[in-house]
Amino acid sequence: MSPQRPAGARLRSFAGLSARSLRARPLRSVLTAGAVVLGVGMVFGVLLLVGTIHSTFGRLYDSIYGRTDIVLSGRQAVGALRASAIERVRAVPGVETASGSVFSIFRTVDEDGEVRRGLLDQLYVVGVDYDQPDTSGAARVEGRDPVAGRREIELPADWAAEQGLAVGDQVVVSTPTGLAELRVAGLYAFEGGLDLAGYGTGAMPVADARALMDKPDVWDEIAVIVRDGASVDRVRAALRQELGPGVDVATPQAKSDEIQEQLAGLDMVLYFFSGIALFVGAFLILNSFSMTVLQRMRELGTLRALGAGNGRIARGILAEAAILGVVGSVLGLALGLGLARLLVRAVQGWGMPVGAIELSAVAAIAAVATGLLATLAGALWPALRASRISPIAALRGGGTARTAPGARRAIVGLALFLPGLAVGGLLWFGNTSGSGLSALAGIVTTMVMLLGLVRLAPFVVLPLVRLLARPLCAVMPAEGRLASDAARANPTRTAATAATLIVALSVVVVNMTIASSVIGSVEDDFDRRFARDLTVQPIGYQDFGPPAAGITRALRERIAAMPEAGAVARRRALYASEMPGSGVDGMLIAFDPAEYAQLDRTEYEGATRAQAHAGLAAGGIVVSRSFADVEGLRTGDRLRLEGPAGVRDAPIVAVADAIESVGNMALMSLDTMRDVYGVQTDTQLLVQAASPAQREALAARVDRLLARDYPGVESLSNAAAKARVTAAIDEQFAFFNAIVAIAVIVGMLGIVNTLSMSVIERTREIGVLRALGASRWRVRRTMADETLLISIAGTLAGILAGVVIAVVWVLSMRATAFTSLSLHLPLGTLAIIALLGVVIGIVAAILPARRAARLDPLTALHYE
Amino acid sequence: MVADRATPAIEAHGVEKVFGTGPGAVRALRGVDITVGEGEFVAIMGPSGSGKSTLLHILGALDRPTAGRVEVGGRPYEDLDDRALTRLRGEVFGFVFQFFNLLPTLTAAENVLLPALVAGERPGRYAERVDALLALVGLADRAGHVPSELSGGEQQRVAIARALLRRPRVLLADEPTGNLDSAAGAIVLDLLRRLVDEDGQTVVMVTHDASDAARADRIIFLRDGHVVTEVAGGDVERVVDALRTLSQAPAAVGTPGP
Repeated sequence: MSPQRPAGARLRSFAGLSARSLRARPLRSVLTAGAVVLGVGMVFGVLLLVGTIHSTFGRLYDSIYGRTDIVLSGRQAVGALRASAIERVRAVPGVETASGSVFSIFRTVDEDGEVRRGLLDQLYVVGVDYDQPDTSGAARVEGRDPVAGRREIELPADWAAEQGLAVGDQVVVSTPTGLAELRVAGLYAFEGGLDLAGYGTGAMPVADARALMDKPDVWDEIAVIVRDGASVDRVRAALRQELGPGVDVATPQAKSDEIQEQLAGLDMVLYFFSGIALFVGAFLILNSFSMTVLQRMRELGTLRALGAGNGRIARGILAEAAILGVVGSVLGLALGLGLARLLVRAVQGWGMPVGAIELSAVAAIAAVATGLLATLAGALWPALRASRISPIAALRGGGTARTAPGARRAIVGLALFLPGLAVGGLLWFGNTSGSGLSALAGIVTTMVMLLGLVRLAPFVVLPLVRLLARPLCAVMPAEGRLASDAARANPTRTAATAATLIVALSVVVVNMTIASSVIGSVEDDFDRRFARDLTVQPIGYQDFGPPAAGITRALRERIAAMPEAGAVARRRALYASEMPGSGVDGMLIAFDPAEYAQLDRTEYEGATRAQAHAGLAAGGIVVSRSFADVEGLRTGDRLRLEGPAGVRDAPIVAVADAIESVGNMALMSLDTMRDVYGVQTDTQLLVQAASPAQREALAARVDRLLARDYPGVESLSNAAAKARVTAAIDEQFAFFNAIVAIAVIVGMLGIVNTLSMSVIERTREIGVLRALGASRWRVRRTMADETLLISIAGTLAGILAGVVIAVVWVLSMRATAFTSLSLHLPLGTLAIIALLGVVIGIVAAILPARRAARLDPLTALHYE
Repeated sequence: MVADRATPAIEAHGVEKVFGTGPGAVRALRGVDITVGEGEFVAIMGPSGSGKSTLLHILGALDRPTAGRVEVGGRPYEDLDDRALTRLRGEVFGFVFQFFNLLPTLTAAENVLLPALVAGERPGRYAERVDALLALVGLADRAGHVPSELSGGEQQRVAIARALLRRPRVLLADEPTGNLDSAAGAIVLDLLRRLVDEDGQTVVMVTHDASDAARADRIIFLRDGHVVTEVAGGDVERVVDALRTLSQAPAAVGTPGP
């Protein structure tokens, strides 16, 4: 006699039935809830990350600028102001104090005297005039201000503690001019408790700083405090008037807002990828509940016969979904917290000074709400279908329609798919990208495109299944035939199984193909244009990275003096968030035309190479093709260059297919860059050996020199330089792929679910097989074969779709924005993805196949 | 309570049912007239394809006739919308199925309570009735067991208790003993007979078992969608004879129903 439960009924309400059904199928409920957990976790993690980034940057500006009312710098952080400008600033009415600063990156040195190369080993050092009032938001913790002439520095208290430094200690740092030993004179802390996650800062007297940084007569920034009672806006206007259009006259708040805007583009991309996880999750829920409805057809019919209305049935199913949604969302929050930590770690790897996660109730609520919404959205369709079933049909077991997908589905699918295909590339990577609006448009069109892909899935998968069935039947005639018939007998189910795999894989393929195309194009350009043998640059230098230290004249002269050295060309680069006369971002690059002529192999339009170089020397500029196309520029047009040191109308002397690599670029002479943007520091040296035979000797000699006297500088071979550039791009795309991987995992859960559904639907068929003498083994094989067919078909379809999308996007980008972008298909990676897809499909089938094999023939045949 | 057999509990006039359209259409019922009085126990018999289950579904508001009229207590319901039909199912009719159709995740007591929950009523109001019904069908001590722990006969008795929860005017049973052994089947028929005799319950039962049918007051015979004949209950031989006559008569023109 089995144990008794309490005789009284425990069910309190119809809604209680929902909870009971969930408990009756624990595995399915867990799988479905799992999808919600992952999706919500992604969304919450990303929301926390975004919130933390914005908040950190917001507080950063408060902390650094403290009492400052106005900040003067080169427009979009491009270039530096002439040292003499500070007197003019002081003369403007309403200005109480003006403090100038210079800025550079030092690096810490380990016990063996080796310069540390990590991103977190950088020290952002500012040289300030200690006679002027302190405009920053830092307060003294210990010690005193550093004194000029004594090689002293002050450091943040928490960073110093981490490094084991105290007031009075000596610290060795690597500067642009070589190693320097500085004494720690004092410690400070930022008000507001800013956490820079291990990034170091420092301050020292400006005179000493100028010497160490090799910035003898510029200011990187001038901080202005406005007189009491004077209007900040009036003073700003007056300063703009005085200093000209090349100088950025902004309040700290405005600068902070600018950064937040630039971050908005990144936000959108992060939201998109987390949205993908949620989208796939909702898809999984759709599948899962469809299966539930199918399995409980008789139950639903009974409820209808007992007097349950349509609404009640639908609400019951939605209630089940809601329960899963709530549980999954709450667990997802916990997962999201962990994910946020990982994401912050990754973002720190990009060089962003983001500190501890900031918890936000709003983010939690938003994540849970999105999770619930996605769950209910996924369950809505099955709930409606369930409610519309007539009691009789339900009681009879309700067969699913086995019609082939019709023309209407194809048309709808194409209508959803094609627009996203056509414009997606431009929205994501075009010249308008980076703005919040275009990223949002990109997200919406991509999601619609994926929906279209799902609708079109049967038309690709089914022919593939037919094709693949032939070799299978050749190898295993019996199971193969059964398996392929099964797959083709119910096209809708087959396509549904494959759909999640297709969506997930296509997203991965698109991401990887675009990454490999960008990298491939960059590498091609490298090989084509680089006529150098060595690149000498500060350790950790990145073109798009934070402002770095530079190369001193002394170093350049010493390398040029080496017997093996043939040509030594100086290169200066500035990242411009707004290119001259334009709103797009890009790079400003400067060479000495005479030096450059020895190395340059670029093909120019509108002028010969010699003419181009002569034009540069005369103060003209060369623009890249993509920049020219965006702004409609041609040789002979004049472009207005506005910088903190001056303004100039420069003629465009030639257009280059690309300058060094893809993107918007403008090339000018060193003199022009100094006169307009105030840049006097070289950021790289391009060195060519006198003859190929002397390459090795040159490299060795340069290395020795650097190791001895300039440990903060490194020398890279071409292969190494190329690798650096591509590595940075790789990292970005890898980050996105990691998020997409979550979508793939959810997709895998979807396959398990749909295959289980297939077992349910074919219970009677399986029963017949077993009754006719098929062994359990054979049944399992048949199920496994069917899964194999569908997995391979789905994988191929997914890769095909991904390649089609990627090709169209790359070509559209090439036609409009990045003319030197060429398609590079990552064949090796595609092969691995193909293998992965098949493995996923097979693993996902293990459970359902086992369950099919265990079906008792009698029960199966009896199945009503 | 004296049953007034003169008042029709449920009646059907000229009921037709066609499934599908065009040349493949199946005419399950071709004009059926039936009257069941209050407190009467009527059995419906016929060969497979005679349309008896279809008729029961239409009588029980699970399906609508293609043509004709059905009335319960004088009120027609062939034309009602789904919501009204749903209410009828919950309040006026009680259905018992061949395969029991209990919810596997609920205990016996909870299954009996289900019609109340479906109607959105508070379970507390029905606690006593549930106990009483379970006692009536002889399963008071199995109230806390789930269907997988009950035998077929016990499950069907739970189903009967469930059908009775909201005091339906008519209890409809579709092959109630089809899935039971003869002993369990006899218990079920005894139960139905008692409900009619002691509580005045109106029962309409579809069956293919002559001895089951004989327990009814009246047996109606269908063939090819028509009512062919009617005999009084109580005598198995009479039922068997009628069946034999039925199977020997020439077939009607047209395709048989499901």
